[in-house]
Amino acid sequence: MIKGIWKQPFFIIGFLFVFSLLTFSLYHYYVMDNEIYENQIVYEGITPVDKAPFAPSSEYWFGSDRMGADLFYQIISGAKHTLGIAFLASFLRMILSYLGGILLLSAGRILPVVKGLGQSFYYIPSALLIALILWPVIISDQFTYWDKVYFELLLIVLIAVPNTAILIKEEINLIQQEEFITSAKLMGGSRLRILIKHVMPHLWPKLLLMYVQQVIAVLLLLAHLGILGIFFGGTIFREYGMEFTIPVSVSNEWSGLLGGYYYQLRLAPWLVIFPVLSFATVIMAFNFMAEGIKRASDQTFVKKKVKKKDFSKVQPTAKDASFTFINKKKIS
Amino acid sequence: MPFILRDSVFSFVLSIIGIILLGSIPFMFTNMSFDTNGYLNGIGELFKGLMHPGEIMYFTESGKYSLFPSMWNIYGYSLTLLFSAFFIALIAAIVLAITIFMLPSRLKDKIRVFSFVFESIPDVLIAIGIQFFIVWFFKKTNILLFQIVSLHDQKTYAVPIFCLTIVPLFMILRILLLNMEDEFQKDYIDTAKSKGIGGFRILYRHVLPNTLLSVFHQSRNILWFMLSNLLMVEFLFNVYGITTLVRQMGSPEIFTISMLLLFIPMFLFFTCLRIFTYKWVGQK
Repeated sequence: MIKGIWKQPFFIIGFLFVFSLLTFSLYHYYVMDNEIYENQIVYEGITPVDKAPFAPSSEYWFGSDRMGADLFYQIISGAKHTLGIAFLASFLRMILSYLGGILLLSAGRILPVVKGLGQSFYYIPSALLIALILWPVIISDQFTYWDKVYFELLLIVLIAVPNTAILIKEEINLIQQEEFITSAKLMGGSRLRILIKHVMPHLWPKLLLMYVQQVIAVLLLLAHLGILGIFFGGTIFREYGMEFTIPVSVSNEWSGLLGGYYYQLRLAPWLVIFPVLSFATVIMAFNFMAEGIKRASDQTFVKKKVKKKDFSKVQPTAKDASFTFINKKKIS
Repeated sequence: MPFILRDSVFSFVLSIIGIILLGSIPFMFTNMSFDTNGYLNGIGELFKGLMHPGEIMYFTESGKYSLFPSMWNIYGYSLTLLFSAFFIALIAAIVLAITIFMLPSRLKDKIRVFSFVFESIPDVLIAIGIQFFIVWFFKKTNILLFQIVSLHDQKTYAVPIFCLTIVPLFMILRILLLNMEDEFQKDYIDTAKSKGIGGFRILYRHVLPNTLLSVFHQSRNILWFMLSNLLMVEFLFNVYGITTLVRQMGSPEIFTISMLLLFIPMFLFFTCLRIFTYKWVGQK
């Protein structure tokens, strides 16, 4: 199954895109010293000809913000943070949900109650709930930057755990209905051994698919939170001109870029369009990966290629006589 | 039938308890540490508040108002947006799916293979893209296609509903396309063909109803997705709907009561669908 993934063009396309984006982001961080070109006024000779924000051009691929910082490099620099958060949060989600799913296996009579309570998540927009809990924390000055980051990460992880746990539990149940599990039980395998040796090999592909889907969900959630004004990277205020200060995201994290620039949609639309587009392309890349995984896991159960014997090279050799007498054959 | 009713009542009660539990979570984090006592007290407080909904207040710049008579207006508006978008998406997806299936098969296969790409367009991109397009169009031609930003007492329907429609449209379309393909492999299609029934008639009389069942199964997920979309659309188009109210007030009481009010029609809708499918095919 895991090998089969690498034969899926969809998976490879998505993976290569995400991988190269991450590599470029890290290259920018370590080799180019995380430098973002900033220039507020463009001179021609000594006369100023243009003033930031600049529109997208051959020099500024994605344009620049009001500080004159190049948006393209901001996005590249933020990619590692956004993708890192998405990977980490969905990894924690999967681990907790997996443990929860195993716990739910032996829940017995409480199970319908847990399921019913879990349903209530389906009637609440998760970004709204997180925003409601986070606002007082974000506004207050008592907490350090890292406190806020951990807290937000915790909320993003926890909000999806109950339903994912129920989902995983149902997947395990489906596998446990197979016949080989019954025979493993009859042979006297303990529950832990059956889980590890017999259930897990079939569960891995599904967990992998769920993981990719969780990454997509986290990215969407981050975009929503960014629009609502909750930035992961923390917010600082920078002076603009003499009298204004504008909120700027510290780490150039994408949801911060999106939320910070949202109010400039009418003046400098590229500042909003490009962060949203980068969210969209990354989500699309992960969707490609998910599709590749789905196809690979469909194929493993459908067919294993039977090696056809190659008869084409075997030349029929003509014998001298069309037949031989049996009695003669015996003698020789 | 009695089983469905009993089960529905059971999950109805549990979902309400769940929403109340979720709604009082803000009490838990007074100082970013888990405050279990505060949480328990908060649940009690919230419950008391919910028992007397007439006393819940909300604040605007002009003063303090009682939530309830004015709430219905806001609530109805959001609900209209949500459900009209859902039904428009459903109908549009059905029409599109049938059209795609009538296309020549090479084209059809290509669309089916890449149908998952549509789903990856985030709702934020759609909303911002439309806003950008309207502004751009206005700058070029001086024609304002739609009122983008709704004012406090003025309600816009067209653009928000349009934005809300697109994501669920693609979700439903994908489910329909995948399941129609499976359905076409089944034996009864061959029987119908051999009886000389036309392709289109088979499609909409036999295949479509069977695939709609799987859309119904997924309807909870789709509507949940739409709730998040609603949050975004209301924020981006400055629509004064129910999520805007929650966002601006930020109090757990208003949050819980709004979510409960959103929950009830959605739940009724799902229960109706369940009973309907039961009567139709006998599935629980």
